Amino acid sequence: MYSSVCKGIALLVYILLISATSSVKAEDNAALPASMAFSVQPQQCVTLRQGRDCFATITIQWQKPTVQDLCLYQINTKQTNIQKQLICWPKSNKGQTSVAFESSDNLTYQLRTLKDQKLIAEAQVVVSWVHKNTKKRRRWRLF
Amino acid sequence: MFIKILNLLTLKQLLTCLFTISYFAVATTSYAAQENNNITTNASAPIIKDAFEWQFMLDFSAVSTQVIIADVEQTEPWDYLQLGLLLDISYKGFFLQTNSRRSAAAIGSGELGYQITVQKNWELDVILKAYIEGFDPAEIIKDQKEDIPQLAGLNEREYTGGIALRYSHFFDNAIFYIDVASAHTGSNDQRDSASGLIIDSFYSYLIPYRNWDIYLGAGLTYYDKALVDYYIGINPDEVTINRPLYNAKSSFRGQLEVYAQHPLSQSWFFNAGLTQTFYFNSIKQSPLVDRNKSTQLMVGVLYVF
Repeated sequence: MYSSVCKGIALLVYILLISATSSVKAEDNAALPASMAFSVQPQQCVTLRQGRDCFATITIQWQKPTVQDLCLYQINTKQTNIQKQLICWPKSNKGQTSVAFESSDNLTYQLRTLKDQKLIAEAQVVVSWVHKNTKKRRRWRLF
Repeated sequence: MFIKILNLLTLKQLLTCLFTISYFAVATTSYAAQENNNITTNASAPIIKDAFEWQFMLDFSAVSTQVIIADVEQTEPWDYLQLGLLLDISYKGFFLQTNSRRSAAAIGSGELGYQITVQKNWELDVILKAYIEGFDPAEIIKDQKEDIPQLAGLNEREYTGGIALRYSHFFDNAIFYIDVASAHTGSNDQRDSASGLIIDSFYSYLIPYRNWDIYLGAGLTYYDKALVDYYIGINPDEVTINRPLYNAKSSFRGQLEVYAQHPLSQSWFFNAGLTQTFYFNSIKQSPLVDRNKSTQLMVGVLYVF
């Protein structure tokens, strides 16, 4: 009895560890110049089933030592690099915004200069899922 | 669990079940092969039976449930806890599936089945499953804080297993299914077994909302007189001063439910559900039953391997 309880606890701890490991598996592709801060949170959006749109509110913050005209872009690299300008900060050295995320694909957020579109920083929000998309149709009830 | 279910069936019925499944399997082999060669319906999509797929989940839930058996309550903290192992597997039309919305124990709520035919909007399966949970009055009394005279010395009621033909119809965001089952209770030294018809139907409608899946469901189930009587009827040898003779009639069960899921990470998701069950008022005439309505509330998390 004691042995089975120990095995149960060990299994639970193992599962929690696996879960914790997988939940931090977000990609942070920010290519930052020295002294530049660029933060995108959360970096992962999880949906129940593969292929479904994932919804999240993404908070994006940046800060740099010098003042510049910068714009934030959202890019879907899977769909032929569809690019959308979200917001611009004229003559600023810091900024913050919240973005409504709604996508079934990973999206990249880029901070670029307004004048010549030079890439200053970027980060990716990864879409993942609990269940793989299968053809099987679920048909269950609660009790 | 399945050994227990199989024990419920007599040899004759088991052979009948196996013959029936084998017949459908053989009879539809060529059809299945044709399907795999891209049979098309009027619509364009090919119809293919479930290929090899599997999924294994662990369920950790808290469940508040009302039992219709007289004076039976959840008394201890662990009565509210539910730990389940859920396995879904399918191969060439055969499937074993467990109810992720109601795991209870191991594969206790599982169904073993075969897809006779799979069409674009509908499917016909033959399934083997446990339809009614049994109960052991002695065990119930042992777990209760107060004595229940109606249950004292009552014979044990076994599980009811059945073989059923299931018709399922699929809509865009909904499913309707109906099982027509030949059901048979288990037998023990104390009580003769019973057999009868169960017709079990259910409709479930999915409302996706942001990252939530919300299911609204309604069900109606018919139970044969012999089966109802097996569970809540009182035989002459069970009569006591607290338990008069009672012969039950056939009955219906209606169910309404709301169930929701929300992802927590790639491996965990949260789920919660509320089910309201109604039986005919007449079942309260049984000395063993004190209510014809029950509410079940479940909140938990599932780990997906």
